[in-house]
Amino acid sequence: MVEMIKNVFKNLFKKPATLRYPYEKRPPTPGYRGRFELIPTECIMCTMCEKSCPADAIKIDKETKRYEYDPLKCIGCGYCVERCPKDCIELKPEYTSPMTSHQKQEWTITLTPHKEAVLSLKEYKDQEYARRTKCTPLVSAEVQKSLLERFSDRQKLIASLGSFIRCPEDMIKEEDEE
Amino acid sequence: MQAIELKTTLPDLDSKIYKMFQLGARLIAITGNDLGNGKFELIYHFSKASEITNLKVEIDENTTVESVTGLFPYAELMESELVDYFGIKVNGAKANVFLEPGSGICTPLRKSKKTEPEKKEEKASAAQEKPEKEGATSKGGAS
Amino acid sequence: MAASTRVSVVPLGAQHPVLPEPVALKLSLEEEKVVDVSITVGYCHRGIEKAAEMNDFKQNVFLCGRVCGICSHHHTTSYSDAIETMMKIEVPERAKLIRTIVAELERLHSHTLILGLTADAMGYENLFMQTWRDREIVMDLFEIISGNRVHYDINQIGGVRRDIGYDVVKKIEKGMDLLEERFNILAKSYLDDPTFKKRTKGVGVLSSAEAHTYGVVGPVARGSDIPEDVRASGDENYAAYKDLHFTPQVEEDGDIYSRTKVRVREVFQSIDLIRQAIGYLRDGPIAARVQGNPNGEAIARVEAPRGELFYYAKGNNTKNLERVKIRTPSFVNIPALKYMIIGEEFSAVPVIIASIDPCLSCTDR
Repeated sequence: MVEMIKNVFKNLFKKPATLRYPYEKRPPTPGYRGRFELIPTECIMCTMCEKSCPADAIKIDKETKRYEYDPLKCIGCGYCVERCPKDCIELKPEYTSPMTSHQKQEWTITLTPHKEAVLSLKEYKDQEYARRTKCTPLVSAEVQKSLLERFSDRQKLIASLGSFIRCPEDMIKEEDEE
Repeated sequence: MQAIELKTTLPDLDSKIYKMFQLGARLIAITGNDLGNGKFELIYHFSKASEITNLKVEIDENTTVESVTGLFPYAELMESELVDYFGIKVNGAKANVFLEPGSGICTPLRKSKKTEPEKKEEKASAAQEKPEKEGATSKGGAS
Repeated sequence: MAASTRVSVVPLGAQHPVLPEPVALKLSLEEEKVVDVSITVGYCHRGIEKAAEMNDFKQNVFLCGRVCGICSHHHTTSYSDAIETMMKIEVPERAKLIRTIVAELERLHSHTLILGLTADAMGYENLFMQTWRDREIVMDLFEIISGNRVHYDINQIGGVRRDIGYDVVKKIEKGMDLLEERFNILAKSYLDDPTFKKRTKGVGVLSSAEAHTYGVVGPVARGSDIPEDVRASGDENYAAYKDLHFTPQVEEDGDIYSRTKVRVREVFQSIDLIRQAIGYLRDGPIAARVQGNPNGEAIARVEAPRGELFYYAKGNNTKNLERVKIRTPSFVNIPALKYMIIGEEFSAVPVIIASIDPCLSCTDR
């Protein structure tokens, strides 16, 4: 009984044991096996990654030079990272975002030597960054509309959602235009 | 680790298993192997005082194996596995524990032809038709 | 005049809030006492033994690690052990010690999980939450060592895939000190609490003769006075256990309290084994070279957190294996549940199920 009263007093002045997500986020650990990323300018189409995948998530077509990756089949083991001879595959320490439909990722590989490459590595990375930070809606259109009905003021809606959705104003403008 | 290998034939199997039971060994698992050409191999793995013994026996497709649940009561699930995966006949074992009947998958671990459930229904209806035909011919013969 | 008794059948169905995984029980009750039980398994069958014949023998390590989420590292260790025995590969010393450290961390993770679930099954939610908060220390360590919180994938044929550096070793030591300090307080709630004792002493008894007849393994057998532990069997190739000091923990009574006591003692024993293994670490390679194809037959067994795990593999000189056979510890423990439940009260059934640590994904594969 005495122990319990001591514990109650201690717990009144302690912080909670959980993080207040989404206001406090956990920093990613280096070495975490997360999102798949390919650098297509380094790839030489040797198909080692396709042969080594235990879940058959990578499909390569040598005639049309297409590289296809299915994120819903991937188990995140990292065997393709070890076997690639040119180090073009990376597993970034971020969480994979959820999808609303089964979409596969595709790249087209151009096998030109590096001197005459169409894009240099820095230009490719800048282009990829611009493509990824464009609005990718994390919430479907129906949910957005229903949220708007509840919060009549757009400013209040954005303030309440915090950093969940990136630039919701632009997405809502696109919906209105359609 | 290395195991002690023992080979035996089907008539001697019961006496060897009874000897292992008297030594106080514990049955770890029963493995089935498909050797091709309609022959199967059963391996009984026993454990006694940090040593493992493999007891191997070769059987045919149509032999019925006796159940060991009289001596080792926990072998029920192991024998259901043999019936489900290979179609080996075991006396008194429950079928369809792991696989659903009518799902189109039947004895998946066999290498040779797989007996599908539709063919079994045709065989059963054909077997029903045959005694009817014999009854009709005997009636015709009698009359 | 004899009173007539009616038997009613109650399903503890495939889905139930106290069960971690689906299993269907049908209990026949006669006025709150259980007279008969029938157990049905097979809700999680995924055909892993067939899928293992379609893959490379090196890709099978990832497949076998996904049979179970809680004992994933022991499956990959046992499979790699069997293939290394078949192809006569010598694993370097540092790889064996890293395998031992990850295996004992996994035992900590699994035992804290089931101790929390046992407390939750009897309604003691506060103890369940506190035990699972201390389990987060071990999960964070796994994320630093291997890159994932479950399904570590740290084994490969011939050794391990990642090395643990000096800073990671320091974090493991700090984590072990913190976990021991917190678990000293929690162990009192599991072993000295009078309410806990009243619900667990003399309930779900499996006597020593019954345990031998029904072939149970793991903490269920060690709680019924059978001193069997694969780590103490003197196998030279099984990770680094031949160098470590270790005795199996055995209790006599065979009820839920004895099994809980065995698991609490094994938590302290695992912390001690990790500290011993860290002391033996020296510099060296972490994997051996693999050449050729597997040919022949081999077996291997390890001590998973729930009992003895057994692998049999057969190769025919090609890249694909011919047969992989897995015998998991829950395969023999779950049918023995019938003899622990008959004769007990209906309200004790969920606690008995949680105390044998059922893992249905291992049973059905």
